[in-house]
Amino acid sequence: MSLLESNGRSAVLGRTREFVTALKAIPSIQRFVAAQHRFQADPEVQRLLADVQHKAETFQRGQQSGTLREEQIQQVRDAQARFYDHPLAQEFLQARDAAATFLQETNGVISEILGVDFGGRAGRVRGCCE
Amino acid sequence: MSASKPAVVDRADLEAAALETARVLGRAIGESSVFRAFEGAQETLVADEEVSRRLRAYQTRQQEIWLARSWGGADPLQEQALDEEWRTLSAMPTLRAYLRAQEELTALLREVAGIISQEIGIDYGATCAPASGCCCC
Repeated sequence: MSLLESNGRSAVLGRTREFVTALKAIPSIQRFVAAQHRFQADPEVQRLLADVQHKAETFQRGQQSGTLREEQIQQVRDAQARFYDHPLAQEFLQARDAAATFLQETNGVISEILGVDFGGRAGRVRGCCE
Repeated sequence: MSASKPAVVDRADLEAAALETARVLGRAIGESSVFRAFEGAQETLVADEEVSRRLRAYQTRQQEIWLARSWGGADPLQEQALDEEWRTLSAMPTLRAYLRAQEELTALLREVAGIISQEIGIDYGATCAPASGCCCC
């Protein structure tokens, strides 16, 4: 056994691949992957998403500089409504929620074994509390 | 072998199989040298009463100052004193060793989560991290 193997890292990476393979067989994960593909490939829904992001940024800048106008709030709401009305956005968000629910369950299993919040540690923004 | 049982694997079986691979992954992480070093460093830290006591006091002060800051009423001198205390604390061998072990563990967990995220196309860490976002130590 090489040094690299004896520290367990390659075993962890091997088990990670097995986990990914098992995940990819789950219907809710497959639905998410397919929905995400349709969502990302559709120019119309992507345009609606970009519009929400653009209007939300304008809103935030206005809020920070104290120049926020009433109509800007409405513009964000309208852009969001147009986005959420799109069938591919709805399909994507629902599929993502369903996939997330299962992924959270797997995180619970791993975290319980370790006594450490796996996803929480892996997903933490570095230095956010320092 | 039961003839009445359908040959098609159903959703519950697939999910149970995936949860089992998650368990195996969790155990592999638990057996890795990085995780063991983290556990050891954590035990040493907890056993070091002096550092543990100062660390708890530091965290309490930190929360008080954050709260004050969110009201816009933080005292810069107190913030400076807190930074100073952290510099002193983090230079102490048990805490320094713990922080280093924690960093190495976080790097491994990030690598694992990164592979899952890339393969599935969903940010595993962000999906599973507590919704509150910011957290501490």
